Amino acid sequence: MRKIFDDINEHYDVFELENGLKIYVIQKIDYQSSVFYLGFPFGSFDLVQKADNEIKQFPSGVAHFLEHKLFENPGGIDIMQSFSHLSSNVNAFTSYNETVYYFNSSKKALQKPLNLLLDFVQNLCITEASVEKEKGIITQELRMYKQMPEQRLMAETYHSLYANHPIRLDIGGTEESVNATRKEDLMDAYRLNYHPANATLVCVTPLAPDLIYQWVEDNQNQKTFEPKHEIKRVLEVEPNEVVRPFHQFEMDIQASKLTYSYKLNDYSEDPKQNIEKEWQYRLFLELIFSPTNPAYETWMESNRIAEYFGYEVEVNREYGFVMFYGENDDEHDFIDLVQTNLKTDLNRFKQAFDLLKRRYYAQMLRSFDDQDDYAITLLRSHFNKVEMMDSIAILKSIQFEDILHLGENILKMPTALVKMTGLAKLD
Amino acid sequence: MFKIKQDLPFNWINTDKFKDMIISIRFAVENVEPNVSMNNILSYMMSDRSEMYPSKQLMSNQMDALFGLSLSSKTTTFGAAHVIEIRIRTLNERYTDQPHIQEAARFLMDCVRRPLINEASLCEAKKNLIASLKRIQDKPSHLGIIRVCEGVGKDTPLAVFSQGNIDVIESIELDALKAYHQELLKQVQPMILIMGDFKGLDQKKLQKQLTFNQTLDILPSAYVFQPRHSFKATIQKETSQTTFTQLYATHTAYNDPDYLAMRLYVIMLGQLPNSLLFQEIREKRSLCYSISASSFNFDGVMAIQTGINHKDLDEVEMLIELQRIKLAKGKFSQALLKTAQKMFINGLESMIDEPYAYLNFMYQRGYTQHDLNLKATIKAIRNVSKNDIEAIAQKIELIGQYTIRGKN
Repeated sequence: MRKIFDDINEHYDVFELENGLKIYVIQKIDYQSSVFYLGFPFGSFDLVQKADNEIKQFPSGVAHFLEHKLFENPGGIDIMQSFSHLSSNVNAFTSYNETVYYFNSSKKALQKPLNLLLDFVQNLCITEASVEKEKGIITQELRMYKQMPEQRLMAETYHSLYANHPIRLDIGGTEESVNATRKEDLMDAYRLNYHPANATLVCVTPLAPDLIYQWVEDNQNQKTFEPKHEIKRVLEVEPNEVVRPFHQFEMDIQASKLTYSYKLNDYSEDPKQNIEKEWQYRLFLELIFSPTNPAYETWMESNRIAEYFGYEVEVNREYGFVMFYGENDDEHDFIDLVQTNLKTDLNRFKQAFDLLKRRYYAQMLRSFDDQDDYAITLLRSHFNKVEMMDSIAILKSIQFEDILHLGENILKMPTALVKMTGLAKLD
Repeated sequence: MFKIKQDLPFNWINTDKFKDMIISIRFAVENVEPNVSMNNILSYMMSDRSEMYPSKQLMSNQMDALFGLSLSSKTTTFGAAHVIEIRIRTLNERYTDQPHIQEAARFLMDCVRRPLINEASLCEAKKNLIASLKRIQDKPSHLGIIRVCEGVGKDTPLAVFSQGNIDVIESIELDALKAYHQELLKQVQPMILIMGDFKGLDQKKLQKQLTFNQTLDILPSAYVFQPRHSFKATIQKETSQTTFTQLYATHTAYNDPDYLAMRLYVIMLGQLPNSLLFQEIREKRSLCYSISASSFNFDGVMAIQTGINHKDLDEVEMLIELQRIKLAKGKFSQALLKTAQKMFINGLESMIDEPYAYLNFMYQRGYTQHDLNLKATIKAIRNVSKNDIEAIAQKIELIGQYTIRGKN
């Protein structure tokens, strides 16, 4: 099926194989290179799953560990080297909600690397020894991220906000959970979550969609798979309150930082409603906490904020938050700045609101030029059960009146303050 | 496909494959202080406010009115030259309901010619640049590279950090900055790169708008760093791992006949999943998560960096040395060289799908006046032999080590 979006000069083709594998092909005939992303909706949040009426619990970081081990050599073949021989770069990432394997190439002879991608991801080949060997590598990866100040600040903030939701845990898990991971955990996680019916392949390529479809179908017709398991993520109920209203920690850094966050509760099961809500918050916050607001410049002049100041907002079916971050040494002043300005009367921002929508529209159009951005956004939209272009339509539909009272909503929500200071600066 | 018209200082790259039009203006000056810190302050100011739009709000509103125009500036080092780039990216007029490219160009030129320079804006720029430098230094991987370059390259461009120096930034005064800006406009002809769909666009008018009246004067850029001493230092930090950085002189210039062999050597050593460092240190022994080699092509140096447990430092250092010896003695497979050639070529061919990468390529081509014809380059990469790699490996020299000893 072809989906056409004339107004932005984009289209893509969608296929589904008999075994349930979904394929999206975005043909860009004037591009030289191609990207192929094969994703599974199995990420770091999937720690407890209900599988065929049985509860299965995994150590944290299992999806990320599995991603590492899929590159193991089945039959002595070095997968990364095999891709390189085919002039292709292969890699993978694990995020909260998905694990994705991908390659890119500037060549047109893509059937072999595509087969290689499908073959290595559909064939887990591990031993006790190879699982043990990987633990040292993953431990160094966790330590590398732990010494990055901004990432550590975000991790501590999630830890302050959430008591039960797995966002409080690092995507890679902890050193303890990695060391506790067994070969059986990985095999179980693979068996439950890597069925082709769970998989989606997204390609951005100059090649014809039917050709890609044919290659994938030929590959899959040679394989048999066990029946698909019905799986569902199981989450503990998350309380409305935050875990730590205040938390302070030290790092060996020069530039102290802080976050001040609100834990939202107005998310829903409907992904479109969440997209709409997130756009509304984004528009509201950008009008107040960016140069769009004339007060922003005075905050900077009076050292209440610096260039490292901003906000993050996220609304999805499991959680929502608004997080402000900055470099103000006086946390009381920072909180006052946020709280006072969330009460801003927006009525004088009507014209800026219309211009802001224009900016976001342009940014979305721009993302279609980037093959990787395009593929990942399409993949995530599919897993989120929304059409990629819905986001544009939802943005266009938002009215100024929709955001007028959002500040009042935010101010009612529980808060968490996290301070990261240099060594020996703790109060 | 692209149609390119190069009439220095203008580079017109006509393509309808992207939804945006990009205009990039790049000034190059000698890579010494206080030029570098001055450039960084100007870079901040040019994308902050202008005399025409003297508040952040007016700037923001004008950019939104120009269909979500994005304005950005940055500074980079090209060996002995330091470059300040200011650019805009805005939707092609195909996607807007009114023409706006000429207005966007006017906006850009106003930011370049008349940024808001006064005591208050200078104070803000200094404060934010210093904070940014501290943030960079808080990252062990960045700190390792900065310190080893400073230690080895005293009184050379290698020691000058492209994002400026805190002491120099603090010392810059308003009059000096204004004078520097005026001198830059009067004496330095920038290179101008325009990429997008020119259909229906009055190019002559646009060129006139973007004209500076100087003659393009090409400064020296690529050089070969000549080590005068070696450098070794260790500091202790409360980080979760030990960051180990080594610096090497490649003794290979950007336009030397063996330059491409040097690039392939670096790829084989530490830029591929099957490179020697990755295979021997990560895959076989699980000593690290990340280990890589990278070349500073305009300086003639190469760095190797990894994050490890401190107890493994001696073993890792020895293993790095062993991999270098393997390359120097030709004890590597032809397959590794072939793979490196393929991946190097893959990167070059993919570049035309990435606007900024392609603009940088065009800039290097124009600025160095070095023939970077893609087809010829690809052919030359394919012609690099095992003997060429061995010859490169034999002249590479370890010149610096910097260890940030962590808690582990």
